[in-house]
Amino acid sequence: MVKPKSLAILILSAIVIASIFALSILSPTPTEKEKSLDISLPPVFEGIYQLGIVNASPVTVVVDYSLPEVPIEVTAYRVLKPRVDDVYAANMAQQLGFDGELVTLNPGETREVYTYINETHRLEIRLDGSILFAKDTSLQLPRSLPSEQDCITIAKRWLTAHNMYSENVAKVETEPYLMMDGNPIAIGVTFKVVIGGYEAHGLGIFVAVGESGEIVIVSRSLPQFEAYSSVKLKTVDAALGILKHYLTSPSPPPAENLECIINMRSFTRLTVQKITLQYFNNAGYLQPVYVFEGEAYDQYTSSVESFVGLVDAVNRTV
Amino acid sequence: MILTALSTPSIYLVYAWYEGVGLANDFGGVWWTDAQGFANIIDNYPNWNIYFLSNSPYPTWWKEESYGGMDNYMADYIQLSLILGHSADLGGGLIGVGFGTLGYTSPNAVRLGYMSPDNYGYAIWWFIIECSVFKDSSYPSWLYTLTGVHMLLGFKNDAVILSTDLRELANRLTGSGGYSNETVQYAFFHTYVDLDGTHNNNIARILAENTDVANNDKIDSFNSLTPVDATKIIITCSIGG
Repeated sequence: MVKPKSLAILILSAIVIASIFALSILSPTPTEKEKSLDISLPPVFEGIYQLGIVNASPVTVVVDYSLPEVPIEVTAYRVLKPRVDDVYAANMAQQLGFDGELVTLNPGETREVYTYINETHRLEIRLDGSILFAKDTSLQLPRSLPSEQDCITIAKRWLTAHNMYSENVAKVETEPYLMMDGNPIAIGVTFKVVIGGYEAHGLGIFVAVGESGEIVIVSRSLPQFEAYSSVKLKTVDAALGILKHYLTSPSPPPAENLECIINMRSFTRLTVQKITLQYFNNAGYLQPVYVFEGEAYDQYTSSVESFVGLVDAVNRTV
Repeated sequence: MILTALSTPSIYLVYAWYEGVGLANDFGGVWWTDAQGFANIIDNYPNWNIYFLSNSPYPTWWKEESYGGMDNYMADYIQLSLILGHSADLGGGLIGVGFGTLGYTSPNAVRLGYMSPDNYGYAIWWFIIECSVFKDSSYPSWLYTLTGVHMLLGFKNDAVILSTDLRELANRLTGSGGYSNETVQYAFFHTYVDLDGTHNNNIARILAENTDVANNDKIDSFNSLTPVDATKIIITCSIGG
């Protein structure tokens, strides 16, 4: 006959063993093989959708650029989200020197953002740690806008004064931010950052400068991140094939498993003038994408526009 | 209220404001959740009510009666309407508003606001979450739609969106969820143009009756009978990569 004490030990042991087994199934630790196959990485464009156009003409794609050499594999990174709560938001507002009132929630609402407002500006601290600082500028053509170079200087000076500049900035670009009837009201300055030698799409700091150097908007997205795994890359040729497929299909892209996003579809000829490997920030990860840039020509309107297309660069079939 | 307004269109007695939200019938899942979320957030705002919320809206809802439409009973009976769907390339650089398998409408058939040809209409804003409807070769045709409606809010290029964008837009319009109450113009721009990966390359564009409505319209503050003339303004917002 089994003694009660022995029976209890037996049952306890069985429970412990069963728990260990269940945990090993429910939360497996990725093996080296799994990591190398990227099966735990979400699709690079997860949760993103390209609306698309029905009945658009097929696009002829001409590549006027040497296909770049790329490594066989690169590192994917995991974004480390800060714990954004009342204290974090208050400290951030104070750090930025913003004097304003926090927008309170109505009964039953869930907080989506921390917004501080004063008479002229709003500061949004998002739950992913990114920041938007904005003034609702009235639409009025400025008597004088600073030059693009001056806008860069003004933007950098403002960011530095407000502890928002980053030493990781590797590239600066300008273009009109807000236009009325084709005339610029504010000039946008984008401070881009580089990760592992590659530009990061969707990370950096954007500043728009208006009349007399007024800061119209600042958007900053510079999360912390850590190396997550190595991912094998598609060839540039394979990525180009995906881009061509998206540009010749008469139907809009499927809602699921997007491999490509483009900034325009209604034109007839694309001349690819630049192909780069970049990191794309989405769904908690920085994953590599091929970025195709060039000129989009529409034979029906004789217009030329700037084209940007992003293609998932991770080879997810190996 | 509805019968009173329909039978006496020249008397503008507004006891409440109405919204209409349409999701093209070839969208589903998370997009329907987002569309419902938008409608509910606006509905919860004082004086606003849902007039229609549909996952199979018809183009006739926005078309003028003289073009076989019924806008007087739908999009032009209400103050705010929104459509999310795939646009339609109509050729020659013209982009129409698409409604999935239920067709599309070209700008020629749409006149919104109190100065539309039948002198009937209450439309103030139409959000068009579709690609390239306001591309350079297409937006001039859409300017004729502004017959009392204050603003058409859409895109110059192919838009890339998240399945939470509509709720963010509604939160910005109403000052919910911790957002502050923004003008209609900036609620739209701040939702769809941002340095966040997804919205980097979007070029949002608003066709507006004048700068006054663009600068001042809020969801609870607008002039129902803003003067209509032949001059419109085009506002474009982008950050470029």
